[in-house]
Amino acid sequence: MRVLIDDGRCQGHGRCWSTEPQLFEPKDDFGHSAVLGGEDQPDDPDLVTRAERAAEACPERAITVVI
Amino acid sequence: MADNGVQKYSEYDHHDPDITLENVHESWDNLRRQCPIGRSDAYGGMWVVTGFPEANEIFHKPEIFSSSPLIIPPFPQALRMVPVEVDPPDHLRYRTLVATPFSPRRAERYEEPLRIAVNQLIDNFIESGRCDIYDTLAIPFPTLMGTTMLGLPNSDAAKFEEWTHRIIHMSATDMEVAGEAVIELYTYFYALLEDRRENPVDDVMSILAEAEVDGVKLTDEELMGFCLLLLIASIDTSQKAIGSMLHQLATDPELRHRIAADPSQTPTVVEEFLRYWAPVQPARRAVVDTEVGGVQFKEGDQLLVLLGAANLDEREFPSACQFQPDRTPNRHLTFGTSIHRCLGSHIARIELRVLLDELLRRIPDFELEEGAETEWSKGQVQGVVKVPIRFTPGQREGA
Repeated sequence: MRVLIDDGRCQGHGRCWSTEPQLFEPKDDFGHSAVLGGEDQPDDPDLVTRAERAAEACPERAITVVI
Repeated sequence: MADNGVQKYSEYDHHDPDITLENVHESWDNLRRQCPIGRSDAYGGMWVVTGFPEANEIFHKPEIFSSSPLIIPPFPQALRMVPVEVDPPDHLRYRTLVATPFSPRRAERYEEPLRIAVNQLIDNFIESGRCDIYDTLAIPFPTLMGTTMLGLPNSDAAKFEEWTHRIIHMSATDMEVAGEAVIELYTYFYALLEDRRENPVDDVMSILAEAEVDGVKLTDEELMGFCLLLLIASIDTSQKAIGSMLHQLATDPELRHRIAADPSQTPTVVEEFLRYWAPVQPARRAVVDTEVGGVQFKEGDQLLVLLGAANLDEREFPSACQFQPDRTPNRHLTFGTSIHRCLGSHIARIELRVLLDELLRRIPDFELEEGAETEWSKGQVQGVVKVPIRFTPGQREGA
């Protein structure tokens, strides 16, 4: 899967990196998010669930999961 | 008069003494059910936004809906609060100045000191078996956090709390008393910044003392606007959020036991407390003629965004009026959203989590004093401000 973050939308709420630290991390002082290890991620079912949960929780709708 | 029912808000005043803990959720919900944006005659006329999608859209248009003034009616002696009342594109330059001390990484470093601090506060009352836990925990804990991170002496805590109360909660009713507090605050911070210029240390005040935007030092007005915001926002908002949370815990044993049994749930529960008890109800001002949700706004119109009401919108939250400790997703607007999203949110979340974990570990059961009267703080920072409780006395842990 690919996990994409729209930097134009992300405002650093930090909901993704605080609830799914296996997948996301804050990349700067504003709390803007980055995908750990880059946007290409293994199709591991647990990881897919986590990515989708983070996308749903994002207040800015900045995360897209492509499977 | 518009034909979409906006007249139904005509009586609404967020400082109305009739708003109580018992009726606040119902009144928020009722307003929104009438219409998501209504017109009130209070304070020279204002729009009141209660719908989630409408509030969300307004926050995401900071070029059209200025966040200055943020307060209705304005604080006496008000200077523009920095960075929250600064519009884009300048806003980012000011916010960047303090991004590092408020960053997620820095916030994490406060977790252990906060854990120690909250346990010391609990030590102060745990042997008594009764106290007003708003006074013993909800007031001092955020002040301690605020003074620590801003670099202010905690020995002046009482002063900070009093100014904050007078400014936020008395501006609408006693301009003179509130105005004096603003002047006292400016005088204090002016002297403090002078001192930090001579003797810089690793704190927010020292950063501000030397701060520049585009190579130019901040003016005294900008600095005072910064200090006003940082002080009142770090103290008052968290106090009210914690007060509401503690009151609910005191009345809901099942919820207490559920959280205490599995602390891994705490972050999720904290989000639901935040959704259900949004303390801050911010304002916006239309800078051009515009439209949101079918409502036409004229340039200069002021809007009060009732986040508490938006957080109860069924269009975003299923069974919105129910408190659901495991609610996910939970895209509440309590910290705002878009460019003015709360600067202190990362720290506030840790503050609430640590308090909840440690309190329930040490005092798993407490209940409201029988016949205790409740008290609801009105205006633009709302929450429960009186929580007299009884509990089985426990042991101090500290020396």
